[in-house]
Amino acid sequence: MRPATDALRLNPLLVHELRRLWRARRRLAGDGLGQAFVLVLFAIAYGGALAATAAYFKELEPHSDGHYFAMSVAHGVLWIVLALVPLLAAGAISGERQAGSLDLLLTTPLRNQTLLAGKWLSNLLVPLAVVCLALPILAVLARTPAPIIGTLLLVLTGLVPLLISIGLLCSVLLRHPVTARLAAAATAWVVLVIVPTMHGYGTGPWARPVEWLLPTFALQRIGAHAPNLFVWRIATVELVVAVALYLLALALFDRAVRFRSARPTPGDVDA
Amino acid sequence: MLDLVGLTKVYGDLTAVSDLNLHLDPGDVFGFIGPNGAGKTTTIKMLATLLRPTAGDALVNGVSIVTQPEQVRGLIGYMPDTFGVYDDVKVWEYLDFFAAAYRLPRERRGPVIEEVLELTDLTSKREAFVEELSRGMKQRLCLAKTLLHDPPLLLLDEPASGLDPRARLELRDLLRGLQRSGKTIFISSHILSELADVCTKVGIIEAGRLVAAGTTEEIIAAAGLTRTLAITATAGLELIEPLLAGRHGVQDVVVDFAAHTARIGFAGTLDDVPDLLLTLLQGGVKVTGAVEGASDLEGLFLRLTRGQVA
Repeated sequence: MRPATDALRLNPLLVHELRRLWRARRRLAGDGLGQAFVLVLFAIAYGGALAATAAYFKELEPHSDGHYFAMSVAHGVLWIVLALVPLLAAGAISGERQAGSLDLLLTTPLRNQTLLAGKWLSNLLVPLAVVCLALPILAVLARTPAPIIGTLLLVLTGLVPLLISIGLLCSVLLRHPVTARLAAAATAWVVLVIVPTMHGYGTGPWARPVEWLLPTFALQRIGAHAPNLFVWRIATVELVVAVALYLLALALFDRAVRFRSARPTPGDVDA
Repeated sequence: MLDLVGLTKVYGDLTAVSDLNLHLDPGDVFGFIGPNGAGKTTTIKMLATLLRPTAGDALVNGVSIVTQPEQVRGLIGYMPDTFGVYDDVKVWEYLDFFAAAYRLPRERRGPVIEEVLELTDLTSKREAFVEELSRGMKQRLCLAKTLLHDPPLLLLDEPASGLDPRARLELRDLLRGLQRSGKTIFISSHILSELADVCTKVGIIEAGRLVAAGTTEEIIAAAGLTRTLAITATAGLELIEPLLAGRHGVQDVVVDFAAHTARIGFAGTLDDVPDLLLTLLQGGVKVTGAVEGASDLEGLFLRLTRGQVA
C-alpha cells in the first residue's frame, strides 16, 4: 500500500503535458488565427444547416426573438470541438509511441494508471476551456435561457469525458497516431452525428438506449430544456461509459506495453 | 551487478534471443556487438523491463527483471536507439519532468539537473528548446536523463548511431567518465570502432545466440584464434622469417617486400608481442611500426560471426 502522500502527489505527466501545452501557445495562437477563420465559417454553415433543417434552435430556445446566428456559431464551435476531443486524445499514447518516448516513460517508476491518468486529464483541458467559452457566448450573445445552458453543461460533463476515453482507447489499441485518430474520429462521428440522426427517424427497441447515450440531439426530441431527471440520467450514463472505457484502455495499455509478448515490432528485433 | 541467466525471447516461430548467460561486475563497460537483427535491441529491452523474457531471467544487483520489474526500473538508466525527446519543451523542463517521474524530491531536482547538465556538457543549453539542439546534443540530453536518478546500470542501445565523428568522440569521453564513476554500462552497437576504446568486455551475438563474451583476450583464447601482427620495417624484412622460424606459437609469416610490410600469425597473448618485437629488433629488423590485429574488434567480429540474423 502506498502512503497517502504518494496518492496526493501531482501527476508528473499531467504537469509535463500542461507545460507542453503552455509552450505551444504561441504556435497555437499563430496557427489558430487561420484555423479560427475556417472554424467559424464551418460553424456557421453547420449551425445554419441545423437551424434550417431541424428547427433545432427553436426547440432549444422556444422564447427567442431570433438570435440564430450567434447561437449557430456557438453551437457549431462547441460541436466541432467535441469532434476534435477524441482526435486529440487519440494521439496521447500512439503519439508517444511514434516519437519513441513511450519506452522512456515505461522505464520510469511511473505506474500505468499514472501515465494514462495524466494523458486523460491533460486532454480535458482544451475542451474545458472551449466549453467555458462557448456557454457564456450562448448565454449572452444568443440569449439562451439559463436552464438550457445548465442542461448543456450537464450533458457535456458526461460527453467530454466519454469522447476523451474513446480517443484514449483508440490511442492504446492502435500503434500509429493517424490510424488511432481515424478510428477515434469514426467512433466519435457515430456518437455525435450518425446515431442521433438515426434516432430522429427510428422507432425500434434500440431507440431508448440510444437516447441515453446520446445527448443533446435527444434533448430536443423530448423537449428537455432544463436539467431534469432525464438529463441527469444521460450525463450519468455518459460518465459511467467514460469510466468503463478508461478502465478498458488501462487494462489494454497494461497488457500491451508492459512486457509485450506479442509479435515483434521492427524496434524489438533490431532490423 | 548484472547477471543474465538463460535469457530467452521467442516470438512465435522466431527465437530472437536464445539462452544468454553473462556476468558483469560494477564498473564494467560491456560492448554488445552483433549485426542488425541479431537480437541486441530485444536483449536490451528485456533488461529495461520493456519485454518479458520467454524463459530465463536477468538480475540487476540481485533484483529480478521478471518478478520485480518496478524495482529494477529504479536501478537502470535506459537510452533507446531512437532517443525520444520532446521538442517543444526546454532542456531543463525535459529533465525536470523525468526527475519528477523518477520521484526525486522537488528540492533535489534543481541541483541534480545542474549536475547532469554539467556532466553532459549541456549547461549552456539549459534554457534552450530541445528542438534547437543538434542530434548529438539531443543524444547527450537523453543520456543526461538516464543519469538523473543515479542508476548503477546504464543500458545504451546504439548510442552513437547517426552522430558525427566529433559527437562520437565526446560520447566516448563521456562514457569513460561514467565508467570512472563506477557505473556499469551495457552498450550495444554495430559500429565496432566506437566500442573498441571504451569497452572492458565485449559480447558478440549472432542469430540470437551469444557467440562469445569476455575480454578480447579471453575471447581470443577461448576461440583458439591466432593474432596477426602487422609489421612495417625499413630494412631487414628478409630476416624476419629465419628469426622466427621454430619460435613457439608463430604459425606463419608473409612478407611483402614492395610494401615494406610483414604479417605474422601467432597464437599467443598480448604479452608475447613485445618479446616477439624485441627478437626482431635485436636480430636487425628495422621495425618502424607494429599493429596487433586480432584484438581489433572488427577482425574478431568477422572471424566469429557468419552474418546470420535471428
